[in-house]
Amino acid sequence: MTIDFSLSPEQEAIRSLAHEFADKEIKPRAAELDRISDPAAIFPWDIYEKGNRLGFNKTLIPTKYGGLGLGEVETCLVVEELSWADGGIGSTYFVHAMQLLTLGESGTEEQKAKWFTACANDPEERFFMSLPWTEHGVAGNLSPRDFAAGRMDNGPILPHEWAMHRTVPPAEQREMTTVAIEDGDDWLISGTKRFITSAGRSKLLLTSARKGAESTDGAGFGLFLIPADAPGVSYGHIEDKMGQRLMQNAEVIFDNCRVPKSDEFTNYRTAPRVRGGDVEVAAVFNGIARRAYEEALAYSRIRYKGGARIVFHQAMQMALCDMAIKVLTSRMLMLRAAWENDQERGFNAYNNMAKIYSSDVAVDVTSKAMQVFGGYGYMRDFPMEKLYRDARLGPIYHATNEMMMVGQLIPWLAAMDTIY
Amino acid sequence: MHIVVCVCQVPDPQAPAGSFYVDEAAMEPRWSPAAQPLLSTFDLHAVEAAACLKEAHGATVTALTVAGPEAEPGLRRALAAGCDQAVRVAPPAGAGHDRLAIAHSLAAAIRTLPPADLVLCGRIAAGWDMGHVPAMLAEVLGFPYASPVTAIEARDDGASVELRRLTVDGYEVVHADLPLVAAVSNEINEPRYPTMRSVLDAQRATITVADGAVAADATAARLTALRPRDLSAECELIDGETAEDRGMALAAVMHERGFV
Repeated sequence: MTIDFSLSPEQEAIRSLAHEFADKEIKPRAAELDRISDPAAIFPWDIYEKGNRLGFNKTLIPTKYGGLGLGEVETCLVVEELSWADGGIGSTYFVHAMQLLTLGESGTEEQKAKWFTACANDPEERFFMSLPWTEHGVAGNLSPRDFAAGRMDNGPILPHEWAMHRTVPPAEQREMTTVAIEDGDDWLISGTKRFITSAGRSKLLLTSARKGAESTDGAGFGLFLIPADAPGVSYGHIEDKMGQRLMQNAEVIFDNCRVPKSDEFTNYRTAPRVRGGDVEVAAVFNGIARRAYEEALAYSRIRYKGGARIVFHQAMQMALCDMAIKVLTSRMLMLRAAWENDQERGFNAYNNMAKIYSSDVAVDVTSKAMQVFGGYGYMRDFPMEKLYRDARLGPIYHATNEMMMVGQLIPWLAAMDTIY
Repeated sequence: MHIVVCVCQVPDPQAPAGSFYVDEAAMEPRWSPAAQPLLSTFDLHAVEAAACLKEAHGATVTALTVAGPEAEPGLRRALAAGCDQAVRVAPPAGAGHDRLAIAHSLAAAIRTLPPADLVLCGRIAAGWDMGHVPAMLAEVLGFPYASPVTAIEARDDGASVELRRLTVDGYEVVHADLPLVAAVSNEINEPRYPTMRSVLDAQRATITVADGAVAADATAARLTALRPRDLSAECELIDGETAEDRGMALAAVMHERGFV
């Protein structure tokens, strides 16, 4: 009997530290920062620096590079707690964690030594990574047309192809406008990426580009590590978002940016695939959903209406039960996916399931929680409207839930007769 | 310098008030669901004060508690926040709420350690809010005692400290020879967050479990009953022809009942 749902003392101590930080440093300021109208003036460096000093941006860096050497379960616990206080801050850490994992899995030893060490030893404690993939006309990672109409008819997709950063279908590559042109020992990269998390704030970009103007096969797609302040890199429009405003999303513009060939991820297609995906995104939405449940429960215990505190009304009790079930099941699915990743069992779609489910749960739970607050839930004096706005990103973010189903979950399930 | 910081765990002060009740039969406060135990707030300040002295002047810091194994997360927090070692003394049987037994047990444990130059405590435990133990401990150890302390600096002679002690309307500056027991207040510092690395290191550290707690004295003060505060209230309307009449009547009632 090996199953055990409890956190280890180490995990509980880390979770507790992240919660304390979120409660004292983020929660009291999140609403005020969220209301700043200029999206360029929000990014709270002081909070991020403090968090990084504690190690929140170093969980996944191996100890030999100066990191904490923790796994995805621990990272999810941290991201959930930070997101409990503010989803935008949680998302900044999620995107950074995703890049650390990609660097760890597909980077060369030299690349890892250089950039993991830079992150672990950053004296400013401002080291974040960005992933400039998304463009105006292409998400840069998935295409339902290719998967649904093309690839599935042409036989099963091999497990190692499922990972998003491995599989960029040919049609998608043709649509990608950012190109890498070979120039001696360098690549020259030009193009514009948009919606990029932490762009203009991060120190390292993991950029996708189409290699050569005519490339139409997978080999023509490249990933490049580019310092954020490299010549030829500039930042454009900062997005004015509905929610998650404490993270910054902006355009990244490459104009003949010169990248040494040593900074390319040459083995991202062939390196052994050990992890299942990017489950930390689920932690963002589980944190938001849990906070909404807690707020609704606390409010229902003090709000007097119809002759009793509303927590004693059955309609409220059923709504709260529904929320609690969803919050718990969503976290269990996230931890299962994170645990699968930490076992290095290779690609699985538990990560996709956790993302899709947690984001739907967050929208549903924040909506129901707002209902518990009645009219007050719609007012900015109370936390519900921000939680709802922050949650609403979920089904769209990190590939829409529809794209994630069509591109990854459906092919994975199609290859199996059951699920366990 | 060897600094001993005496700590204890208390139920999470932020646990929902509605979950609190008094178990009169067991004479214990309860929370449902159980409130998470945390290091007492003032003790966090004492740990931070020790860590600051250690950084500034060099010191060995020992965290000490008299409690069961459930207090170990608190000791690990103290380790993560700057203490070098942690010692837990199993509580004496039947100590219950006998603070003197706790003070005797702490003193006995301190005597088994390398000589303590400075003993720091939080000025009260955020659980029962009594603040008895630090003064009792100083008495048992035969050390001078200062409380509530809002600043502490080691002096150049290495054998004394300069303290700032709160008074009703200000503070006084005291030069005190070591050894000394000082009970610190929250004004003294802002406890830092432990880093994730120090939290992990603390989880992997060994906590020394010592025997030798001093048994409670049956003749010492002991708790005989614990009841919740009566929060019921009655509303009394003061009558009168005019506002002045009603004001006069209210003043008379307040005077009669000793409110003014």
